Amino acid sequence: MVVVYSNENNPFTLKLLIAANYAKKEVQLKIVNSKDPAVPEPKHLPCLVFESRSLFIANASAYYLFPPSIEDENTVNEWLEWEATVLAPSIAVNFGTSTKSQSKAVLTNCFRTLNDALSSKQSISGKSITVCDVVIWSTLYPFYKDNNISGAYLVELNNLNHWLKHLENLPEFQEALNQYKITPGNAPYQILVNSAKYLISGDSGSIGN
Amino acid sequence: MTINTIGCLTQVANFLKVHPGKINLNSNSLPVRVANNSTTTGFIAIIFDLLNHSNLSLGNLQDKAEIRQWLEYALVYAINCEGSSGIQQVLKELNAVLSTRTYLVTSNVSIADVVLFYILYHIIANLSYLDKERYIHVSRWYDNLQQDANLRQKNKIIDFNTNYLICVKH
Repeated sequence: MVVVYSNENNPFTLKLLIAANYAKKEVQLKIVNSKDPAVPEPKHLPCLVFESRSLFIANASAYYLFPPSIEDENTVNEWLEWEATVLAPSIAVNFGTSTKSQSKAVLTNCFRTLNDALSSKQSISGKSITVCDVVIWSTLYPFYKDNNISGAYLVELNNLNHWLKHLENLPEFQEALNQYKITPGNAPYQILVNSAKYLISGDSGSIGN
Repeated sequence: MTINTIGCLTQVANFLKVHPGKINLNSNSLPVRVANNSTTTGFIAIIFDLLNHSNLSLGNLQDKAEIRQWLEYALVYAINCEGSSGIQQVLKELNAVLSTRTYLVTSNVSIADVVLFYILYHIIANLSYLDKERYIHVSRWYDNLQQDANLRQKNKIIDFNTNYLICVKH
């Protein structure tokens, strides 16, 4: 039995649920808070538990559930790392905390990078949907669904807009969205900052949930 | 962070006895390794690449998934922990995980232990004795790893001597 421990409204949980749908693997979703004794150390959420092992890093869990083909492996590795080190921390800090710093400029760059990568393609690898589409899309979802905050960033980024909508309508994505509710806007990012326990440098703090 | 990433990859290559090749950072701040006419982008991909050319086993699929997790943890958390609250968080998390196991992934040293060994060196070297006692499982794990001269390379031995003699209430 594969179990996903998650709190509510956590965008990273979508990564695991959609990856499981693509891999046609059954996972059991258990809604908990991070202090629940059932959640393994270091108590980041979401956490994937299977065969007496646990994964608390969402990208590692999504990759384990839905590994890429050998020919897509390099592309997937590169984009997963970009998502983990650049995109996700910037979007979480920008929309989930009171710190603004330079994350807005970084984000504008991220969206341009993605838009260029998606030029005349339906997926990042250019062929089928892979785990890097799943992971990046999940991180962007609450932002993309809030017209007020996404409007200013996404103007003229037609490829990115098209890709966000296209993936949302695929059955593997729809099924996860029906099973697990994510609200548009800032709230999911506040939850993400706390659940992923991002290190926020200096005197700034998260505004909590 | 940038210098640490390349420094860590070079130390890992030396440990694995694999030629590090040429490693630089691209415009997205991801490391890029060029070796034997092939290019690999990303810290995690480069580590897997180096492993494939070495004698150290990657283990089974589950081990590989846990190794991927610790490599991302090293990159997103451990390498970026400046300032005391970040350092305390990382040490506290590792201490909790290591309280029930000897090494991070399997019952032997894996690349996850090796990478965190290099990334955490300056943090551990600068810990007070009180902190070495507070994070006793991290200390025991680190002290155990540094006994391997091949892993330690040119790093100086860190002194943990008195830790085990003093009992601290948590």
